[in-house]
Amino acid sequence: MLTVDRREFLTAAAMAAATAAVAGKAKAVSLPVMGQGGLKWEKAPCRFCGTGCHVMVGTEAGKVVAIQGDQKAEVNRGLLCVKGYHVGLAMYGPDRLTTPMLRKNGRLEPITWDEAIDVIARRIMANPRTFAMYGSGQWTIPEGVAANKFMKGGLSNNYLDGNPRLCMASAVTGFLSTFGVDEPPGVYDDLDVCDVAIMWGNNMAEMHPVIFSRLIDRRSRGEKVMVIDLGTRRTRTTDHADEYLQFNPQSDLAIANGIAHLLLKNGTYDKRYVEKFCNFRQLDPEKPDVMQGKPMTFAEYESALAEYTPERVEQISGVPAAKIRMLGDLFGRRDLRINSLWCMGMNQHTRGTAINCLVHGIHLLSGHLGKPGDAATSLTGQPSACGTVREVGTLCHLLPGGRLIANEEHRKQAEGFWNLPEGRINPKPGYHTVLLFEKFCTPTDKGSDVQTLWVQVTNPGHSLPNLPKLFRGKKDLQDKFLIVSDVYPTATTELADLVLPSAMWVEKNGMYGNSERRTQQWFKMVDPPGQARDDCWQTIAVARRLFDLGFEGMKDKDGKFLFTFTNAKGDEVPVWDWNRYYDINVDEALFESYRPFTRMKHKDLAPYSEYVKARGLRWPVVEQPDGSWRETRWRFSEFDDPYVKKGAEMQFYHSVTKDDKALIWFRPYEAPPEVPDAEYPFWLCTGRVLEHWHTGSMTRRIPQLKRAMPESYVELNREDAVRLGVRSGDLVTITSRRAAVNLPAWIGGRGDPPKGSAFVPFFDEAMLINLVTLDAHDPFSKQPDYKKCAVSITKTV
Amino acid sequence: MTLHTRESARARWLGACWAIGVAGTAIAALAISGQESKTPPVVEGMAMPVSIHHPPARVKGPTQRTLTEPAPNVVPEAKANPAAVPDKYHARFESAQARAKLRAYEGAPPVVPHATEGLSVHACRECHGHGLRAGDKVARMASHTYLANCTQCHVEDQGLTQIGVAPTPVENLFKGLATSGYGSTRAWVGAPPVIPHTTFMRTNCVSCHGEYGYDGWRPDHLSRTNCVQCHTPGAHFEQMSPVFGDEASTAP
Amino acid sequence: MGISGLVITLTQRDEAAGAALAKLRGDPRLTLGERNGPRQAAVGVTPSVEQDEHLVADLRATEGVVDVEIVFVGLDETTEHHTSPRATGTGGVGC
Repeated sequence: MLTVDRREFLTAAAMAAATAAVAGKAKAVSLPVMGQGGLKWEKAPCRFCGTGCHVMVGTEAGKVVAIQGDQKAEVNRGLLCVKGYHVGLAMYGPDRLTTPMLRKNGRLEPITWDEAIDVIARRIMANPRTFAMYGSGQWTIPEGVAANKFMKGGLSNNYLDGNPRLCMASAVTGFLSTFGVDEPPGVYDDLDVCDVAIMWGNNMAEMHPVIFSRLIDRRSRGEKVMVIDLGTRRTRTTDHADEYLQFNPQSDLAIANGIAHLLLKNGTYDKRYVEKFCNFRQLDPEKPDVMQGKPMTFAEYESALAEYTPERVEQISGVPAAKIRMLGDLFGRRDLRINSLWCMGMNQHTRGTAINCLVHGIHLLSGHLGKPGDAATSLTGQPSACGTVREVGTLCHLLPGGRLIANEEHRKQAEGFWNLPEGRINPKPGYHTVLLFEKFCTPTDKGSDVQTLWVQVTNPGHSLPNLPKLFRGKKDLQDKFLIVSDVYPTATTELADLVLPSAMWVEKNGMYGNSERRTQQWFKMVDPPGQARDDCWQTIAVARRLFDLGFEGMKDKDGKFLFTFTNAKGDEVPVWDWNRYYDINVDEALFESYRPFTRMKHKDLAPYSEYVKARGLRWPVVEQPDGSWRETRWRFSEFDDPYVKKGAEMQFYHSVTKDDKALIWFRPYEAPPEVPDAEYPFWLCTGRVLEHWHTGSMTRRIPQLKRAMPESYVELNREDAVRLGVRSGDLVTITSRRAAVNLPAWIGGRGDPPKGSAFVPFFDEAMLINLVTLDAHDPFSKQPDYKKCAVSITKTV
Repeated sequence: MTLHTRESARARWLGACWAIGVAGTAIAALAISGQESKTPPVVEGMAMPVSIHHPPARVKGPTQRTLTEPAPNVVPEAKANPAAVPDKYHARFESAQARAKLRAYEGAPPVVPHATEGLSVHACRECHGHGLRAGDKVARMASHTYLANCTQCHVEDQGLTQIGVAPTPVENLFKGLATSGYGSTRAWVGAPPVIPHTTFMRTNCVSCHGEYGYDGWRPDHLSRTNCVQCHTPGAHFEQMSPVFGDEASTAP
Repeated sequence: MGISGLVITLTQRDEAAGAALAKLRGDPRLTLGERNGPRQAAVGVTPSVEQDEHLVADLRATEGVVDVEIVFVGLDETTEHHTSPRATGTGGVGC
């Protein structure tokens, strides 16, 4: 098909060239180059990580044929990483799911969409309280809005969570504990002006390469930037670092306390900043499970830190005392701009909330927060973990715009915005991810109240920790029903009872929100394959079927269907009919319905049309007297944030203590829940690699990426390998208290773990390392720790 | 997981490392210029001390060199005016094909046809900073200003061969934008052609059109260095052009 | 498929030019386009790069044809390529 089109086009182009040449026209004639037969370029954010690069998507004859980095995008300025350059190929794996399938007698068999929607609706009708939904930060903002309203506003059911729980939850609790409001005060612009960048267990060269380049490429322009890599193994980031400080797993807590200790001891903390803008906090020993803790005085804070001398920190962390002093000195200097950056190292941590708080704390204590270059910024792994999950609130305890289910006032506000009868929203928060899957894998007669689970845009059968317990357990339970909407077969569809084929990325309209509060928009450019359809449509279609079956919750307080949309003429458009779904822009309608929610926490969003024009805008986006919309880069800073009072300099206007001050927390170093012992003598850390995005369901279908990184492996330390008699390429068995997995060893490979530790990337479905990992999690964020557990390693026989 | 190719792959890998470690840059160029090239004298099954079975230790981390060396982005004076060949058209096809083989579509960053793991960050620069020819292998000069994190965009064409993972074909139905046809953008015969590709990150023309560039793509006027004086970027690939993305203007 | 945009310059001698044109019209590989004086626009389509070259060589050898300029070269997915020892080395003049 394409070949013929191209040939016709080329022939025409060749003739045009020859004709023009024959005519001997001296004036410039724009002749087509190959591929320009209808080649069209349009902007979209990249499908993969939370960096939020924009790409220009080249489409021709209804297919994506090329990608360019978007030069107009402030995030990436024309540059992409290897995944971004190949993002278009993610849609063209040969095994795309193209038809709904229902498991009959153990086999998935094709059914119609109508039947599929009916199966879901009838299961919900039969038992709306035991239905649950699990999404992700790959949901677009409108998809999240629809799912949230459907579950919490329609089904009065809070069993809705998303995989950012496995990814960003500790960053959220860190921001909430410190500033009273989620998401970073700083932005990527800090990377352009900081003097020191500190990677807290963060392999940014592979995981956020585009903004890592934004940082280190300053050196090739003659600028000086000091990169400090605090890590538990050497990585590609280490190669670009000025200092590599290797610490023992979990001891980042001690390092942060060591820095705070030195700031006080040397008197180099920023007294004025602390007095004006900060209060001190600690957990209440009486109520250690209350995240808000209790106030402490400066003197109490100082004495709590007394034991964290450089020597003591060296003992705990393995980082030489001199280097702890070096860090303390850097933070103690007012003439430097310091940017801390982290991702999973600090978040996937049984003390994730604590270490997030402590890093904010040393920035506050030293006044390194709020000026360009002085920032503590968490980076996200998914394209819309911030935009959809954290802002829209598709978690079991949240309502849109930073509202809490447990808060009556917040529920009333949500009911107001959604035009619901009072009391529709269930006041009891649902189950967080780990608990949700535990319930789903528990038989109903053993106290489980989750029977039907609908998974959209994520792959928990691969990404959950302790898979035997949290996912595989579902396998033989007849009373459980798993619905999976996805684009490819995955470890999750393997156990699915109903599989729904989804449209992805530029096969649909969408909006994402990246790590730096930037909301982005794109339009559908090509059709999805076969019968694949938008996830958002799927949600609305099920809602409509419930409405038609007489489910009361699908009506608002005026008796109208929850997802009622009208066109420009004011006529209702039945968007639940797939043929009519794109008659209007459902994304725009859902987004506009969500915008009023965003004001309470000053996360103001602009009208949809502003995002159409922009390469994303960072909230709060505030309307100006001339009607234009202005984004905000440095939140809480008077010089940039319009919500800060004039003359205030800094104002943390969502302060936990209601006095516009941020909280500096004290949290002690505490040992990890599982440490190597005689039986399981190695530390195991898991993570990602440059080429593959998360569980690899997309990137493993892209030839250039899969060929570059065909399968998983275990990085071993050379000395350990010699002792075990293992050579690169030998199969080794990694065994934990949960399970065992075989992987080829790689010594002196991409990363270099210290003696007594090993690293395994988690992308490979054929070597599921999450069978081995631990499901222990942070008590506040409920985020599991994938970064450390104890294993044994033996040569496979 | 295929195991049968492991031994030879390891031998090749050891070879590359040995060459780099012992003989430095020049030999490194040979060793990494192709999977098929110089295999060192490693005999399969030969008894070796255990430690030698691993690639030589290179401690990852900062080096003085990476931190202080200025970026090489100098367009060198052309060393030779390439002699005319009778089959320049053929050479162009060959070059276009060779080039396309390493790319998913016109404009994609090329994959690396040699091992990169285990090399330090400045290894790329040794050969691709100024371009290098070794036998029939050519390391082209980087087409863009120095970007330090090379492997961010350029990945191995066949990764993990070091640990014996055999390259496996990956199916994908994507059909990439084809390489532009030569001469398609001349206003008339003899007119200087319009540049048929984006110039973003391809500001260094000599990368492909210079001494270490592609056969058939070298001009007979390499001594003239202000390329864009005569050759203007094609508007339809250039994002900063007002007609970029405008469908109507790109119709033939 | 190799697809070439060609400008074929014919001789000024009417008789020979007419004979050459007739021959060109009869060539299944060619589609003729506009003509401006002695300059004839044409598109050549052949299965391979090698045969593209043969076509150009044939045209140059045709009586009444003074010159053949290749002004456009396009390759589609089905184009075959041959390897030529002549293509390697340092040679090559462009533009």
